[in-house]
Amino acid sequence: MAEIPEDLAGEVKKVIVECLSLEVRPEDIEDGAPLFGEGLGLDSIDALEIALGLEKRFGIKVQPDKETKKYFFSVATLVDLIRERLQGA
Amino acid sequence: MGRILGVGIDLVDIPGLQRRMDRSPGLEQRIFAPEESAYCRSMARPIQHFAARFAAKEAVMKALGTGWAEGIEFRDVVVVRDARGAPAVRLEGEAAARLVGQGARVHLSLSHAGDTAMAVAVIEAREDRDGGDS
Repeated sequence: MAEIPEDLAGEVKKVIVECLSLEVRPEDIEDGAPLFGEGLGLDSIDALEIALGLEKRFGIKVQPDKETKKYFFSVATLVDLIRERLQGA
Repeated sequence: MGRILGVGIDLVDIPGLQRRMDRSPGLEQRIFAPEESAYCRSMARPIQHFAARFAAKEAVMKALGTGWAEGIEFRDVVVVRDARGAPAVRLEGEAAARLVGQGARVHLSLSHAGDTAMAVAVIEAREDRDGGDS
């Protein structure tokens, strides 16, 4: 099993802020807040960029699609996705 | 003209797309089919053509009334050139499956001015298959 970072949510927030050059601080993003549409207001390219950032950071394969759509909602759901991928690897 | 099944429009900020493609190098191949990349990269200002194609993909998805959450990928909507050089759309994967059996046709128009590219897509049902209630 791959090693899972202790503060996974914090790591995900860092990836989001860095790969999208956002002007918010990672710690200001709430775990359960919607990232797309209302909420942070991210769009479909942002979703692809986040997927690429997570792949690079965690060495997993993720693609925003029908299968993963429920995970591309908030930091908390992305954490679930990464945990699942890391444990399945 | 057959029944109109959907219409979609999209505007893309060209420098914004350039910025995103620069900072996320994997983006190009997640969004564009190899033939689209090759076409855009052969032009004097590739980003204008990438932006118009991206607008086309978004416009077609809006006309289909769907998006990535329903299993449509950007790469399923491929912008090609017809025999006269006009932009046309080839649908693949889930996007194509949506229109199978409907005999539908996608019309596309692209434009750009200054920092903005835009696309309009219209999906038309063919007259001869347009008799049912479905």
